[in-house]
Amino acid sequence: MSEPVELLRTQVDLAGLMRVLGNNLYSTPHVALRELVQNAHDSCVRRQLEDPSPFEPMIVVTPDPVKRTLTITDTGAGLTHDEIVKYLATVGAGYTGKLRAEGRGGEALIGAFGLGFLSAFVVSERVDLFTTSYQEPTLGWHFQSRGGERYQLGPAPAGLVGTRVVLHLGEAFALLASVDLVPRLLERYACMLTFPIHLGSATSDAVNRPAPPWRDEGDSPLLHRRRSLDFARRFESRFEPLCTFDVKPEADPTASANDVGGGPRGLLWVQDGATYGTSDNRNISVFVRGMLVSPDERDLLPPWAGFVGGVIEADALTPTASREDVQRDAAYHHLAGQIQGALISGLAHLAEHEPATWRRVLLRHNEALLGAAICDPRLFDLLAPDLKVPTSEGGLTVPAVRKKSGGKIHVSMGEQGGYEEILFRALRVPVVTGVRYAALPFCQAYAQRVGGAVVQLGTKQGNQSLFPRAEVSDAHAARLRALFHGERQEVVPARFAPDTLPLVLVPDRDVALKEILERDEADKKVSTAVLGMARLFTKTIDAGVEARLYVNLDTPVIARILAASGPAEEARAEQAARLLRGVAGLMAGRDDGASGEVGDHLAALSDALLALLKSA
Amino acid sequence: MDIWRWVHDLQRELNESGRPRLAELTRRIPGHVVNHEHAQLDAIVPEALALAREAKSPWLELFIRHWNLQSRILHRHEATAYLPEAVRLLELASRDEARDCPQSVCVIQDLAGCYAELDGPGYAPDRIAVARETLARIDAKWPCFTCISSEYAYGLIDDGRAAAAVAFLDAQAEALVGAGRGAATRHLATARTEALFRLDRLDEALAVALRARETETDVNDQLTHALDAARLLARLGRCEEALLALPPFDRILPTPSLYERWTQAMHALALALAAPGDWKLEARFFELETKLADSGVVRVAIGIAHRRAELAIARDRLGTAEHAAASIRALVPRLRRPLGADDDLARLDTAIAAAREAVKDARHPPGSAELALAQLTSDPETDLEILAAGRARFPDEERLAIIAASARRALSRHAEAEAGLRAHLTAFPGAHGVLMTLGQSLLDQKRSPEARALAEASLAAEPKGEIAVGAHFLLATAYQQEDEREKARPHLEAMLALEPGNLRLELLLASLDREAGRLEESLARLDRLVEREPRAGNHDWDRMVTATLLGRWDAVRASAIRIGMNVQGEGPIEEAWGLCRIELREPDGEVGVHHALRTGPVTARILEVARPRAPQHYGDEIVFEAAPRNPAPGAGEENHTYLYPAITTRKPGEYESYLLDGVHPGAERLEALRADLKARGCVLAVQSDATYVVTEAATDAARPGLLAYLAAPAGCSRRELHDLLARHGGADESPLVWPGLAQALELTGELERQAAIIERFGL
Repeated sequence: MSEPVELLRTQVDLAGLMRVLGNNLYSTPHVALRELVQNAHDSCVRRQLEDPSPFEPMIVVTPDPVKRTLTITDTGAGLTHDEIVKYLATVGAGYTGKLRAEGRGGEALIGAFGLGFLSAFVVSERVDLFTTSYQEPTLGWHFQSRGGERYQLGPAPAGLVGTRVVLHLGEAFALLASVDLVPRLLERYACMLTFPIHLGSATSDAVNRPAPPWRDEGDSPLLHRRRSLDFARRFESRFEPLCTFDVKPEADPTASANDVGGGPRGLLWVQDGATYGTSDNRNISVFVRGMLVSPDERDLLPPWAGFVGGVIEADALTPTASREDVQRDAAYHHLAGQIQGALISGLAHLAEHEPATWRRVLLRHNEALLGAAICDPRLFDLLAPDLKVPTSEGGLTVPAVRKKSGGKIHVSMGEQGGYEEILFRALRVPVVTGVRYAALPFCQAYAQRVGGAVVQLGTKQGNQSLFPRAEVSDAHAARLRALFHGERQEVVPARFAPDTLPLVLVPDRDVALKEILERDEADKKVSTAVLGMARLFTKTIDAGVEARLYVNLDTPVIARILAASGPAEEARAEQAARLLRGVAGLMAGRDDGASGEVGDHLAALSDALLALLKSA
Repeated sequence: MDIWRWVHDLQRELNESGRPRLAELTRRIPGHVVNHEHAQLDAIVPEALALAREAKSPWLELFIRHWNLQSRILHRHEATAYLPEAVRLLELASRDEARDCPQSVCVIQDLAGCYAELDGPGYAPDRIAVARETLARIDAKWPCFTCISSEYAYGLIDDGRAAAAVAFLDAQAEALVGAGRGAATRHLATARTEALFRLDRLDEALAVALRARETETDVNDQLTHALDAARLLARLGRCEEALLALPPFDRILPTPSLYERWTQAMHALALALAAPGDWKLEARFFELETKLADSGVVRVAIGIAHRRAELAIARDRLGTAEHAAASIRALVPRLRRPLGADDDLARLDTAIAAAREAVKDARHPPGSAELALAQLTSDPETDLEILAAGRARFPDEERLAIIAASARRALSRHAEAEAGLRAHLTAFPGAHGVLMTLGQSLLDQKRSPEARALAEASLAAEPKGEIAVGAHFLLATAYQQEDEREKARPHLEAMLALEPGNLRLELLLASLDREAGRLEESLARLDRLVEREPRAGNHDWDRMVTATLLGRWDAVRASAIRIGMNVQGEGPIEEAWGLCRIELREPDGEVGVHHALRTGPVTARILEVARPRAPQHYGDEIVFEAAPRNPAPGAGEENHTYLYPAITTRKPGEYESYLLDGVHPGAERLEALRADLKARGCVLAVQSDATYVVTEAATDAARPGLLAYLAAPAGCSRRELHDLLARHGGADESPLVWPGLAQALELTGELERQAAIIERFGL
């Protein structure tokens, strides 16, 4: 007697749930394929656990664009009538969840929410399921449902043990029957699954082969490298991977050598595409229990690693309910730390063992690496001698900069037209362009960790370093003051290169600030209490000196001026001094009051020249 | 008033007007600030600022500088260093071109924040006045309403009016709700927590902190609220929960604005014995205190010192409590107004004195330095007391001074460790061990000028003996660190004079001579060493290098034979010892690795043709350092080649290279071309393989391609080379092109002909 066909109703508000699935839980229809393949895989695991007789676990996925169907066949445990009623049609009660709750199946089981099968209805007009359970190999069942809310369940001819699900796809989801798209999806979603997954027929090559490179311990280093690059290419859609690094579980001192436990494993790679410092092309595909949970978990990589991609298998992570993301819990942060460690030791290994590839990484990502180096001291030590900083003489490594600058690192912050430009052009000393990405902090870190001094042009400390004060006799000091003194300017005897530059005039920015904020007009522009607070600071500024005039004792002109004796020579020296002052004023080039008006300097220059012509 | 709107509008404008980089940086800056990504922020601020100035946008400049100050002042507490910038920015914000920028209000918060850090209570009246005045200018619709309200509330709290602060915050929250920004009350949660904490309304404070923690997404707020929860839970005796809430220390250390809360939490946990209140915690506290004190954040530093003292008294480490009291004594005068800080210190002094009285420290001076050393524990606090007793009795014992310095360093007392060593050296100028410890520590910190000054002073005091050797060593190492190797030389010589026969010094001097181009002196020294040392060694390798540079092949051979190499004949050595790789540094500092043929013990000839316009080294004869960069091949390792760093190019190859591209002429014709080129001293380095295919555009027919670099020696006539290529590669059916060479010869017609081929095959 044949079993009657039954019409049954699922036990939840499926219409509501489907809307949730369709709109929220699963943002892409591809997920249906992932879920069904995982169900098939779980079924094979179940059969391995429960059925003592031998079988060949396998999954075959067949897209048929003509019929607009997608068929997933497995050789797993199959379902009995009761199981179909109990598990298949009851949301939240998937059999896998039951096995896991019992502590069986371990890491091999994927599904946990019992929602997997329902995703089929999101994309299908009708779903057929044919199944024969290993428990009753002579019975077959046919489950059929449109929309999932109600289903028919009846007997079918017994087939091989296993399950075949046929999705009659909705028009909007016809792509899931595409013979181009489905293999690509499977390569990504199913690549970590253990049992072979075939496309079209069991005799075709399994799409999840070769297995991830970290599962093959016996490979030679060369083969491992090639397989790793091939594997990386599957995940890196925008760039060619340049080199790969393994992520291995942390060594547990209490575990035996072979026991790596469920620690994270995977691959990182450096992208072979030139980046700018702030480019962020990070991407990490995260697999949990063989299932691709998120294709872009970029925050697992440190923020400086904008040129790195990766794929990680990490069972310690917990997928969110939507299974399209993982929870940002302690395990997540721990894994991020491990990945950062693996990336840095991978780069260090590369530097030591594969110099040619290392050079390529440096060439491609010099700027991004400047920024990376200042974020992590280990990385800094690795990169410090080889990265190039932008300078007035082109890109140079810091050792090359120091070599040309007597051990110092001069950095300009972009003030144009000041004395710095003239000075360094004359000296032919490279000046680091401090306004470019990470250049200044990298140089500062270099000075701190390796050696050398950063001289930041245009700052007080920078000027002290550039124009070191020299000792002179009281008589010479007085003479210099008499010759060069300007209103509210300090004459500083100094020695500096080049010895053809006699004077440099540098205004004091703080004094200018004090002037502005302590003027009465400031009261009209700034509120009283705020201005009072600002003046707490400006009161501490010594207003006496608006600018410093550095007189270079190493120049023959100044030496000659100081050596002048007799009224005629002294008169000429005074004329020369006036001329030099005019030039210095013009060179200071800032029409900001502190260094005087350009017009005044021109007038001084003109007067001095006239006087010289007259005396000649 | 939406102060973000103009930023978003401007970003769009910048993108549209061809300044996408500035738009991108502007977008990133606030995120880096609130997520404590300090290094990433510092990497982009100078660039963003330069671009904003170039774009002549004072509003954007204000925006960038304000956010930079948020990070520098509010989060990193660099109050002293950035006060001038805060004032400068205020001045910019008051100018006509910037004063209407909504961000001009935020600048006030930066300035007030500076003073809050320098001495919160000391400047409280000024801060309250500033916040009050600013609040009068804005209403609850402004986002800065919450920031300035917080500022005002903190002013009240620091002024000892926490209850008024709570009432004020209630009123502000109401105003925010009234303005439709109800959810925004979370902005005031931090101030509210603080006020309730000061009022000892711990449960209420905890509720606020926990609620705030749940809604926050940026790192700064998350950490702040987590620390608030931790310190409150600890104070409430809920230590297990507090420990769970407490973020790890490595997330605290980079951001000084978190130090006060973290030390409060740890202090409460340690007092409750829920966390170890040991010397390691003391070291961390002092590290944080020092960092704050160095930045001018005096009041908070004093608070941490008080917490150190309390914990030290609780664990009977009165030396540490006294150390903390001394810290406070030095900090109090730096406050704007003491406001009870001096009274707190007096109370602490009394408590320490009482504790000393109770303990009646019975530590007797040890009978010998050895006994003092034998008493040492692994606890630096205890050790410092033992060492103090020992040093009182044996002040000249340098071992005690050195160990005391290391104990101090373990407790993060780096400045004191250094001062202690310096004091010992002043009192006992002959203390060699102290000199070396101190000097090396300065060198490790890259403070080479100070290391030199120290060594010079030691030399002046003790020009002979062990100490002089040490001083010369420090001077030589310091100059080395400063890249002034020539200046290191007299000190190495002085050391050698004091330690005649020191092989390492002799080798160093020989290599300095070599670097400075004094090759004859270098070789003479090495000859003497080889004569003196019966066994072959580094002196032989170095000698081969210098002798090669001088072309003294007899000396090279002599040492090579001593080492066991087979070099026959006379004159220049020209062997073919297989492949190696040479690391060559270009003038810009870039390092390239080139395949080469090893032609002698320390010589090689580069075999790799570089692409046109890249530095060309083909045929360069290189002298290299004898020690390879890479290890010997491992078992079963194939294709291993040694990598040697180049010292100099003995003879440049002087080749220039040209690109040859096009349809593959077939193996036979390629060989003929190669042979003809070889006859003229040229070399053809084929770069392409079978995968290189060129496609004729018209027919879409794919043909095997050829891409090669052609290296020609300096003397080779370009014209003849061109004619040769025209003969071999000009065939119409499988043409090749060499545009670089044609360009160099300025052959306009030929260039046009080749351009047509390039187009035809899409080369």
